[in-house]
Amino acid sequence: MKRTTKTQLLDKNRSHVAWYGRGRVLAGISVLLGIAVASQMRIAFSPCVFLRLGNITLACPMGFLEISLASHAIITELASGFLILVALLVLAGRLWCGWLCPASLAGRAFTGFLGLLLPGLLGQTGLFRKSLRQMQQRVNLRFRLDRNHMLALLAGILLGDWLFKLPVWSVFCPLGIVSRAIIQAAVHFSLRWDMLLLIIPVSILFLSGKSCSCPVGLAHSVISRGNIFFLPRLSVECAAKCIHCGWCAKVCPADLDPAQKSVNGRDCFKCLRCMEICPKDLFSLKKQR
Amino acid sequence: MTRRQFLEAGVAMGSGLAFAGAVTLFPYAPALLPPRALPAPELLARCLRCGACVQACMTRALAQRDLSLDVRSVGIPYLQARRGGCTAWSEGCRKCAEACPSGALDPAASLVGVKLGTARFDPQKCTNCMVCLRRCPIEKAVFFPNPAGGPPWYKGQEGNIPSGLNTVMSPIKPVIDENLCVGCGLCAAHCIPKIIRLHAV
Repeated sequence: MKRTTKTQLLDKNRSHVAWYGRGRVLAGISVLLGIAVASQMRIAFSPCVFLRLGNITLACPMGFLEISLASHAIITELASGFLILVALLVLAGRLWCGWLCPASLAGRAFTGFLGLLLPGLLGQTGLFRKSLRQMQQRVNLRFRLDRNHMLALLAGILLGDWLFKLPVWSVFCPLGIVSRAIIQAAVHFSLRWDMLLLIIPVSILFLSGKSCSCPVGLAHSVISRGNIFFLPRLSVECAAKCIHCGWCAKVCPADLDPAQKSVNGRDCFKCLRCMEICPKDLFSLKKQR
Repeated sequence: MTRRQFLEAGVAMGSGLAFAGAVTLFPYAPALLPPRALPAPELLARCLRCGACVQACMTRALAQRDLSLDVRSVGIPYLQARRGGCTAWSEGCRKCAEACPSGALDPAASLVGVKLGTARFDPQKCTNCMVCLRRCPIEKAVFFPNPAGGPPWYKGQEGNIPSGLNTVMSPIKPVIDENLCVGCGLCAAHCIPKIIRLHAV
């Protein structure tokens, strides 16, 4: 298999493609800034509760499950929003993880920033990020962790919620930690200890290499299992043009199989990285066959 | 599913359960919960830790609890009186409860009998500025050692603050009635020498 380098691919004149990556960053930054602006405007907006329209509240599905289990009752305030969110996740898939998740964007920005800050210690930009990623991969290799283990861990945490009457994951959720830190910074202009101390160990445990396996994303993936729309796919005539460079599989956070050239709705983040990287522009978003 | 996979899933599930149990072992440290909050055990179960109440608070008195020995209540809102007092009693504010998405704070809850904590201060450092007396929303929760509600030489009934009298150098200081005080923190937020501290019940 002949491999082209990434720089050769990026030199190509495909300006529309550059907006996919910019769009991802802009969407993530607008969520991060949105939390701060909403706290200044005294509006409730955070990754835990991202839309309130009258009686309907679109809240984090994991949060809804946790507090329903912990308080031994279905939280009626959030139930209608949860059903709408399930419908959205089945229709549009895991858009949240690919585009809007503030924890993954903040994590990437933070590690990149640390790489800039510590040039002598850990090399130039990107190396620190790489080492954090390697650390995650090493943890996963050591314990041979995969999605099923994470699902079992999630089930154990949910059982613990019910037994001990406490939404345990909500305390340690990286999205929650980041949003709490932003709210505190915007409202009180101060830092939080849980941001400084907890976020890195939690990230190492729950970011598995390229893709995230945090319980929030897992809950999204369980719900969006039925998603068949907007999936990157090669048509038959496009598959004939494929040069087997393997870049799509390399950049895909959902482990796109280069032989199949398609991912299922359970895993796909809709991040468009495969469309961005493909030197022949072969991918298109389609309904799954 | 093989036997090995079953065992591994069991270990993962057990570790999740053990993690949840280990978090529960940490003791609960009391703090000034926002008014209209559920009692502490139900609040810990029902609060989403989303920070909507903190975002909505008009006086910026609410903050989310930070990492401490009490790991269970990380992210629970509490009143920080030095940032600003709660106006639920003085102005009938219910913004935090209206913002709460999960019903952990109930906007319809009554304030009768609700007590967040008590305010205490060191009379030695008090400058007699009377701000606590002016700001206190509860009648006679702050008073001078005089049943009429003023300094010993003041006998008037209306208005607690003696007009035209120089109280600054007075050796007689205001007193906070710890039974009547609800712990809204308005006195502590506006106290000029910043000596009033709030203690959770």
